[in-house]
Amino acid sequence: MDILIAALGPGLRTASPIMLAAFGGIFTQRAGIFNIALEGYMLVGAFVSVVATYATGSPLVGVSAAVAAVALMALVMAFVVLELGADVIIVGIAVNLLASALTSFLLQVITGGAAFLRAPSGIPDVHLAAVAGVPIVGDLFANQGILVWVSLLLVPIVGTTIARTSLGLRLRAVGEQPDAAISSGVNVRRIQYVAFALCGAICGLAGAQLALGLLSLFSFNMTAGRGIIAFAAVMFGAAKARWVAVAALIFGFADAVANRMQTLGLPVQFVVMVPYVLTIQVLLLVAVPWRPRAKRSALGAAGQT
Amino acid sequence: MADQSIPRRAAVPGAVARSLRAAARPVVAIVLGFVVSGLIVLATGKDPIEAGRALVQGAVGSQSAIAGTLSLATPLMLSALAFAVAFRGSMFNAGVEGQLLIGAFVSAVVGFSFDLPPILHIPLMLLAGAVGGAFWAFLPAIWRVSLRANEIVTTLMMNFIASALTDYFVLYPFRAAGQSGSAIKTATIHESAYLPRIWPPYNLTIALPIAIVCCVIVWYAFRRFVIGYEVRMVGTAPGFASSSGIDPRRRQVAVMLISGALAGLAGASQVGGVFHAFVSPFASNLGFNGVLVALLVGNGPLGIPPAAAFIAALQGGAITMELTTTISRYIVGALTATIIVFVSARRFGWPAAILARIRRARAQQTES
Repeated sequence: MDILIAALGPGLRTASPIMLAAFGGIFTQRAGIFNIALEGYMLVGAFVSVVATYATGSPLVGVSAAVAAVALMALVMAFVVLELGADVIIVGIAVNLLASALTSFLLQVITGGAAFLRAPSGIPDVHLAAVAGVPIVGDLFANQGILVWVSLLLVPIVGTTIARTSLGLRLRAVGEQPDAAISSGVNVRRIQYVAFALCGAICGLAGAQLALGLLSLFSFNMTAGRGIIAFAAVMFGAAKARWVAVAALIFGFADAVANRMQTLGLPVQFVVMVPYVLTIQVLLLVAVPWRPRAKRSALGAAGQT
Repeated sequence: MADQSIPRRAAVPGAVARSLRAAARPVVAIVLGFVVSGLIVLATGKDPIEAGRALVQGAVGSQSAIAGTLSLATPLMLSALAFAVAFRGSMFNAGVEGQLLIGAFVSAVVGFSFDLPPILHIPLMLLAGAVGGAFWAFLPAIWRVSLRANEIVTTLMMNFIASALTDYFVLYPFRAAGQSGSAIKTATIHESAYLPRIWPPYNLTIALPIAIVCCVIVWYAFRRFVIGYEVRMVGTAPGFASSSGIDPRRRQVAVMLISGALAGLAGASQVGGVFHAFVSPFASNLGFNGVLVALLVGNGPLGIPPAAAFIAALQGGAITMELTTTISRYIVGALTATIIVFVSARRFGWPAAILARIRRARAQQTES
């Protein structure tokens, strides 16, 4: 129990990059794009944020540069997928490999062979003295970085964007009924470009939070599968902002608990598995009602004739 | 928009033309990939020609370099074949990595738990690896056909579960005594399970011919056997397949079992031929690199051995290149990724179409 409470604050912190990347993934997923390049996006975001902060001394510049660079990168990927007709999963695998190789290569060029690059300053924390003494709430919220709050604010923002704005409506139309979208005059390709760009921008934020918010440094392949976990969170939450956030929080806490257990020398592997096992579970549970529903509609169709 | 100004391909007779055309795509992509990564090297103020020379030297510059490249290529062939088999049968197996890990672990257990003559022990160990991999692929396959759970996601997740599970086994129940540090092993497998070398003193084992034979068998089975025909039908025309009485689901499970078995075999070949134990972390990314190899040749089984040798040559050569030219070996990853992007760009005619449009516009200008 102590392990769990002690993991609350760090858990929210480690959950935030996963949550941000997953929010990015919501936009592509809703537009019907199966984007497993979240990992690569996040890694490039982390790299650019640290290098830009290192060069200018300002974490704000670092975060902005990461957002811009990854949005651009996502647009290039969109070009390859949408204009050159490449398979999105295959390009996703290639982008992840490219991100890992290029950031490692450039890291060695910049540092002359060191394993990491330290940023002069990270993203500042918000200290809330009012809740610091309150048991669980204080553990959670007293000292969190600005981007943690941004990620929490994005839950309703992303949710309403998808559910209530015309952009969200078009995204869903493109993802679920592309033919209907085309016949009602939606420019499908433009919407898909927008989805890629938004996904990239938010994943850039995720990378910046991972690098500048958590450790203030960049090291080789520092995302270490978090982009895939974010992708899992999108699947887990069926691309609905609330449930994706819940998934990201569960996965982030699992990560923090695993870290705690590791320092105590306990076997962590079964905790490490949690995100993946839960995601498969949810996929299987969600999948179950499909068959009866399909049968029912088939019966209905038969009844009409 | 069809364009008449692009010259039509000369009619070379059947098979030759087809294989030439199939080879043209990866070759163009490889050339473009080298150009892009050469420019990156140039931008960092190093000499790309020198880098290329060191790369070739390290990959095929000596007998031991060639043996090393072929040894690296062996598991890649099997994992690429694993991906390609599933892909042909309309299943996207993103879990080759995990199936490989489980296969490797199971084969290591068989390798150190039994005392048998080599003639029995080696096949048993390889078989165990294949069964382990097939089991790990069977679960996503059955979820897909019975619950329609997207196999791309489930196989991807199963990779991480396999990695954590084998990590646990190596660190706790199966840890060999007296080890510390970051690389932890199980007990060493018995010598009766070592794969025999085919080119002593180099560490090139019978796994290489086995892998090539697997590629040929799969190629032949897909062309000549009924099961291959059915699997291809399910992959290319599922509606037609099911209306001619072929249950696509059984074929999908079948290809996933074969795919997982090949991935497991790749893992077993690493245990029996290279590490002689299960090592954690296990040689990473063999599964994903296999996917890249398969994609490079459009999932054609006969193209896989040369493609695997090519990717292995890049990886082996990169280490030499880093030592002699101080250019980071990671550039090779960027090179591979660019090649894959260029290969997978289906609309290759796109730049040609633009060029043609420009040419036509020029022609019109000169006319007027």
